[in-house]
Amino acid sequence: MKKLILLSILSVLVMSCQKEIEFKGKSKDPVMVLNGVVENDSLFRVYLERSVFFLSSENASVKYISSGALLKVTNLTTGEVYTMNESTFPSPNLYEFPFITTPNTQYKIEVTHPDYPSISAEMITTAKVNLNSVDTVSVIKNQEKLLKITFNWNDPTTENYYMVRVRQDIESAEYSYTNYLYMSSTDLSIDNSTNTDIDGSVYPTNTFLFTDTKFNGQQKSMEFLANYYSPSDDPMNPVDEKVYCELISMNKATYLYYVSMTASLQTDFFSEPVKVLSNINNGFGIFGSLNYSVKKL
Amino acid sequence: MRTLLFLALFFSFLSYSQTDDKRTISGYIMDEKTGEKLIGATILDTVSKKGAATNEYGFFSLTIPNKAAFLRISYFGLQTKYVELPIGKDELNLSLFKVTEIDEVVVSAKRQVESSNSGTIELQLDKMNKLPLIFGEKDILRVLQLLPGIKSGGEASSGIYVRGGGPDQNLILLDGVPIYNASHLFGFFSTFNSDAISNVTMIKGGFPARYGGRASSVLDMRMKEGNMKNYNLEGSIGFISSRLLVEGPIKKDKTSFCVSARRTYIDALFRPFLIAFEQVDAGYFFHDFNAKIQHKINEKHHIYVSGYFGLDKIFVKDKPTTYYDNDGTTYSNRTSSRLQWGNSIGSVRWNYKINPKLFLNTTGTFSSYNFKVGFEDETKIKYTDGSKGLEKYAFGYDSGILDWGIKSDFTFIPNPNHNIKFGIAETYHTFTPGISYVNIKDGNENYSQKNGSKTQYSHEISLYFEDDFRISERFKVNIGLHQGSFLTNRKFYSIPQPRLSANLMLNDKSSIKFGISRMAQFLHLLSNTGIGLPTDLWVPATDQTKPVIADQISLSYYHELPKNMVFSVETYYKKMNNLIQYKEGVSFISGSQDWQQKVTVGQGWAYGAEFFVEKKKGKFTGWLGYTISWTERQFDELNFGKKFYYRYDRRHDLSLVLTYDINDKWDVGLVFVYGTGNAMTLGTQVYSAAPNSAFWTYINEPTITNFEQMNDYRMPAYHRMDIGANRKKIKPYGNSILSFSIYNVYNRQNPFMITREINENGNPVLMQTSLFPLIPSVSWKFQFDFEKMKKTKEEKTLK
Repeated sequence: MKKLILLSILSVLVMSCQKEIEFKGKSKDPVMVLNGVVENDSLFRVYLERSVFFLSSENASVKYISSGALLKVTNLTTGEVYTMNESTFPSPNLYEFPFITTPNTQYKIEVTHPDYPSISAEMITTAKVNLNSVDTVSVIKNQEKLLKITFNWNDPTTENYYMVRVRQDIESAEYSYTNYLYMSSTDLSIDNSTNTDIDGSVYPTNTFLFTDTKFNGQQKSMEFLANYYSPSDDPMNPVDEKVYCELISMNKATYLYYVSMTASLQTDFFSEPVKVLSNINNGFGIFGSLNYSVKKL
Repeated sequence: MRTLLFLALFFSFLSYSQTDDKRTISGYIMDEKTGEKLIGATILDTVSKKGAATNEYGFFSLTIPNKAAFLRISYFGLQTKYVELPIGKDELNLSLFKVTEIDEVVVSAKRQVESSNSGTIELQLDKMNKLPLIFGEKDILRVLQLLPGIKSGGEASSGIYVRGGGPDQNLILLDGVPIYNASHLFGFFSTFNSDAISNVTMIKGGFPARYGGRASSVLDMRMKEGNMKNYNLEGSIGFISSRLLVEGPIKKDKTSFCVSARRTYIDALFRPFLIAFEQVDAGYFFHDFNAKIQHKINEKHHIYVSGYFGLDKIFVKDKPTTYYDNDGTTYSNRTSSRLQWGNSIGSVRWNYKINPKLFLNTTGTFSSYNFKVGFEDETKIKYTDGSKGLEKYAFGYDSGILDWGIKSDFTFIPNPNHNIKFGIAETYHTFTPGISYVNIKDGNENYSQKNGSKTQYSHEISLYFEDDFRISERFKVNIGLHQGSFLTNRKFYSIPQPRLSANLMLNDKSSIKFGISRMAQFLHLLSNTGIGLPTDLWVPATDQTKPVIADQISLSYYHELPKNMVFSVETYYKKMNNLIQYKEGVSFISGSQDWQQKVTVGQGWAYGAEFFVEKKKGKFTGWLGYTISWTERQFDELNFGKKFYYRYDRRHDLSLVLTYDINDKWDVGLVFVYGTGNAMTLGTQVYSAAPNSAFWTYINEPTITNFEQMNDYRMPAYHRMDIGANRKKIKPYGNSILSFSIYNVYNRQNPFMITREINENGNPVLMQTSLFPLIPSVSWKFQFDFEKMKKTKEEKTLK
């Protein structure tokens, strides 16, 4: 239906013609792009690249900054300082610091490079929120077999930002892949506006982002109906299947970054443009924190 | 209501409490040829030097010393008449003849230096033919776009943007009834068939208190009332459309009618080819129909009934396809889709001259705008046993607005120094802001579902009082108050809107005008593109989205130059509150949640200066208009709360209009327009998203395009020149005009949209899409004057 409207409106362009034009705006110099969404109890990892002029035909690999940059991470809670000036081999843009990320810790990162303006960012890592349990039951809805999955956890009294999804790892003698189950939810905390079609139908999605505004500090149960197809039915081709339920808690900047990214990826011809959040001073990217709590089904 | 009744009784009493040393002359001024009432005709008593002008219903009232009067009655384009009225004769219903040689052009009938309202323009429609046409169509809104302070949205837009306001902020009235979507063909043509319109007044500042309901401008159009004297048939045949108008007396000088219709025939031309070569039946057309009847009951009571119906429709029907199952079952499938929108309005008006000083106009109105999308997929099944089945999927999306209203407007003219207007209006709105439905039929099973925003009902009530007060010979003010109230979903808004305009005549040739006004708008238009697509939704103010309030202040200088030239400069500053816009990433087709969840509320600013020079008389006429302006918006949820330029912020806007009468047969016209390019959002830096598997379920992380500010890039400037020529021929049956026009004569490729694309070499480039290249057109306009035909026949018989 969207196509019909789009095509109909664009039919007025029958007489249109196109031509290449010169860009006459202010040309921006490239800036450094720092992407580091760190996880507790893991090595502190960030990725360093640079931005590219939108009309540049540069190869993607040119964006990587593997040397020449000086990265300085300061644990503002303890005062410890770590530096790196080469990317972690063999990755051309990954900088893996030799320390473990800890929760509720304030980190500052500063990057200097002779060719680009210096960038910096600060954030406080979030504490992990653990899943208490995950319950599943098969249900039939509209003659379709679905899997009802209920996530249970205790929401801390602080402001919390979450992502939920269900990962399916498939491995057989011939292939292996990871799949994320498409699910739907009518929970009041879930905003289905981005996955609702013009005819009003809510279509399933594989990632749910939400805040704890409606259940702050309470025990929370959240139900999802998943389109689940087991690949293990074929006796001629046995597969090893593992299904993981993931509750991912994150800090506010990371949440807003993902929300704005989702909106930006779903824009259509008519949409207002979306500015993706960046919390990097003088540069682009995200310096954030997240934690996984995973239950295997 | 009690206040209004009191005012009516009070002024009625005042009307009769006249001293013996005064007399009041009143009546109507009409066009001799058609019997149409004239708006803005001036009546001057040359003895007492007191004057008056006819109101929007052609009525005037002039109180002068109780002596014999020698009146001068004049109107733009008609012969001035002098009438002597002895004492005891106070009723004057007079007709003016048309001058044989017309040399004025489109703009401005009255002396603008004398009017107390700044920012008011009266368009003279009978002169529009001298301007170049596009596809043979003359368009009122496109002519208005050539005036300073009034801008077009771009190439394919008949929407108007007045002093930084959006296209929804214009109160477009046809016979006093609001029109909600003023465009055909996605904005390329306006809905108004100029043949059926008799008067157009545009107000962009210094609003009189009688107008309300929109924030930026008022476009008040009156439909032709119908010729009271003779039958008249006129029409035109153009490249893509034709028009026809018939008017005449039902009972001479008592009852008349005027009917006009217009239709495009693009579909008729292309459908046979589509069916033959593309196996699809598809097309587009628009049509509109205007009708009006006036009936003069007596000199005191006049009744008018008018209506307008317009429709745009696009349809696509596939040819049925048949396929077979393995078991021999036959399936025949066909899909069809349609998209249509249109306005319907109607009004019944009663004019009552209560007494020579008090006049009442009461109007009942109806206005409806509907937008519909429909899609159907139907499969007829024939089973091998001979039984039949049907599978059908139908989807539809409707939106619209429906108004019923009634209003009473009083005009009280106690003496030549006061022209008092007061009135009351009530409108009942029904909003349908986007409802989608699905119907599925599978054999004997049926399924249907409706989604979308709830239908909303609102009452809009307004009261006003204004006085056009001549304080001295050189100083005049128009002061008033418009009280607008709105009740929706148990939320009640009542907003007082004070208005003041003043005119100080510096000398006979020049004046300074000042205006300050507050306008409240209880309706919002949800629009993604802002170019007036039919998909735009009208929604009411609610507790979350408050009414738009615009405060405007303007200061202007008018000067009459030698050689029939007029110069004016107007400066303005406007602040708009409670504007709405879709949130980032949201559009009318994204999701079905309530519209209120899709929008964000903000504010806007507009300021600038408008310069205008017009040569009104002579063989060589025209005008030059230039505007320098700034328009900004700010929304907490857009652009991280920072101010940004409005999409139609246009720093420089220039228009040049020239017409030249070569001789009695030929006249030529030229239009040149230049405008700074529209503002647009263009991301100029690209970078990778965070490579974190927690979110992206893609193999590669997506890329992000960063823009610094919303609307921080300018499209290339818009400019265009159109030329046209008309050849007039006087025929025994009437008139014939052959018009030749070239739109965009130097084939400028003006930007419609700009996108980043990959060229054939694999490099990213900036591509500009343009719509209309050089377009030549020829049209023929004809007019059958039955009176003339009768005379010609009589002359022949005599010979």
